[in-house]
Amino acid sequence: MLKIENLSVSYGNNTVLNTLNWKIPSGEIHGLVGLNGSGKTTLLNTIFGIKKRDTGVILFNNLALNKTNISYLETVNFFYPRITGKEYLKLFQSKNPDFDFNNWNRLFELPIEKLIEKYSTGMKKQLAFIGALAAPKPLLILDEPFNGVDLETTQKFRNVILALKKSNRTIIITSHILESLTGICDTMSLIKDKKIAFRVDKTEFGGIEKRIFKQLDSDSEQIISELINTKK
Amino acid sequence: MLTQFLAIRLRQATRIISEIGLARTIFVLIGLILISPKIFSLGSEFNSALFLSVTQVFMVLSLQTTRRDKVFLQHLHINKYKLFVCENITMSIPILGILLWHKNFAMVGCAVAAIAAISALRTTIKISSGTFGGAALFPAKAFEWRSSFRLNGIFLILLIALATGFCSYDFVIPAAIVLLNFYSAGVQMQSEPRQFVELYELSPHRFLWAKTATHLLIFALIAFFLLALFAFIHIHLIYAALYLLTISLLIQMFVVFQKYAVYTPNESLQGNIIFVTLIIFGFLIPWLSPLPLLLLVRSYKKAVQNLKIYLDVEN
Repeated sequence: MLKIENLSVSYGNNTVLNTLNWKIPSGEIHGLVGLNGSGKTTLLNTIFGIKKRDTGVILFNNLALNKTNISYLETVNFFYPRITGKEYLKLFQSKNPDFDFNNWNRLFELPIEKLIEKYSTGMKKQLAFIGALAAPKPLLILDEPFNGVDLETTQKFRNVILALKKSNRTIIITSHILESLTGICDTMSLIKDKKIAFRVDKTEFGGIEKRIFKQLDSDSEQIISELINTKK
Repeated sequence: MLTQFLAIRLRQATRIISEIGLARTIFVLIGLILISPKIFSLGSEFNSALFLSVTQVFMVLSLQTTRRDKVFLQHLHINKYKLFVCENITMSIPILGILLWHKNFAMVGCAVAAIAAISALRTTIKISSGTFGGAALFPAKAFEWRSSFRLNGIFLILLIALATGFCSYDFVIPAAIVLLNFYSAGVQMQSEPRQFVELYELSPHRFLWAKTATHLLIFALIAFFLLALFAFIHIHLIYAALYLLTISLLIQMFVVFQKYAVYTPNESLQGNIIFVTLIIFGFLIPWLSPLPLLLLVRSYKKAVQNLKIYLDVEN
């Protein structure tokens, strides 16, 4: 189980997460949703350890979580532009000889002999996804993995994620598109007002959209109607 | 429109200067003024002025042919030529200032004319792996060198070729070594993904030394050819060659330390050029000699501290 207790994180004087608590069972897929700027990526960066926390404890299977347990795919993927996909993946293979990137590429069919700068956004995401899977770590964090990828790749990602779950990996996924999560997640949590507002399991996914957007809809409806009236 | 655009550029420049630090920038400019008599003492007045002008024109040429905003600028109703001339001349002010100070008016005229002509260049040099396959000669973990060589390896080849061609002049190879130091520093200023740091799974200290060793080895292999040629042709200056090699290796150590001292994933580290310039001045101005060593130690400590975020196993 991943257990986060009283986690507070800030950027200078701006507190982004405030005494956040979150528990998620191992071997399942967990969706994390929230509006832009709600602190999703900050939470993931803190779990991974590249953002320092002000207070709080993060445990994984009752032990302090450390980087050797985590693979992390960030929202924006960056590569040296003038290296090839093959050169990029070979670097991961040098650390883990069992990682057969050619086999992985049978699934994604990327032009790995070409320079990465020639890749589309979706292709770069796929390359980064393969890289994130290079080492078999028990906790996999995927921040917006479906951003910028086509329908076929989305399906491939979902199939890979479901297969990883079967191999008892704990997976955290964020997305702005609820539908991309409801099909694969076992639980979903909403981050709001610097905390985890609620966590629901599969049986409650039907009503999650209403719970999230209830307030938002009433606020935005008023602004939209004002805007349209002004234009008239 | 042109004035507005130049005002935006000016604001960008002031932001860069404030990020680097006004005091450091002023220090570098003062250093440049102090070092100029030394450059002029290396050879005849004409040769020194020619060397400075050619170096500046060469730098403007490399920037003009690799700038990536040309497509963006096409969408603006702006006189691109005037913009490029303004930017390129502004960038060249320190060198042109030195030439004016030393009353090399004819050389200033030639340099300005060359910069104005270069500003009219519309072509962007892009070297693909297909035409520049030599990058594979660099080891896989020297991905900075591979990427950089594919991007602007032609300038490295040109530099070596020109230095070899004109090696009979005793100031040519030392000048080429200084430029090679800047080129190699540029290699370590590209933005680097977090995964490439974590991949090493080493402690910050060991990581830093592993990266430094690879970088120094590649630099030394390139520099050795030029320095051996220099020592062979100008045998009476062999100690100068050894001194150049030693300070170049120290400069390149600093380049790697400084890279990781300010490292943030995926962010370009172009601001480090000011520190590299500082350390080069430090070696060339006698009364500044403790400065490079202090900077070296400071950047090493900062790098170790900064790398702990990415390399320490404990979160």
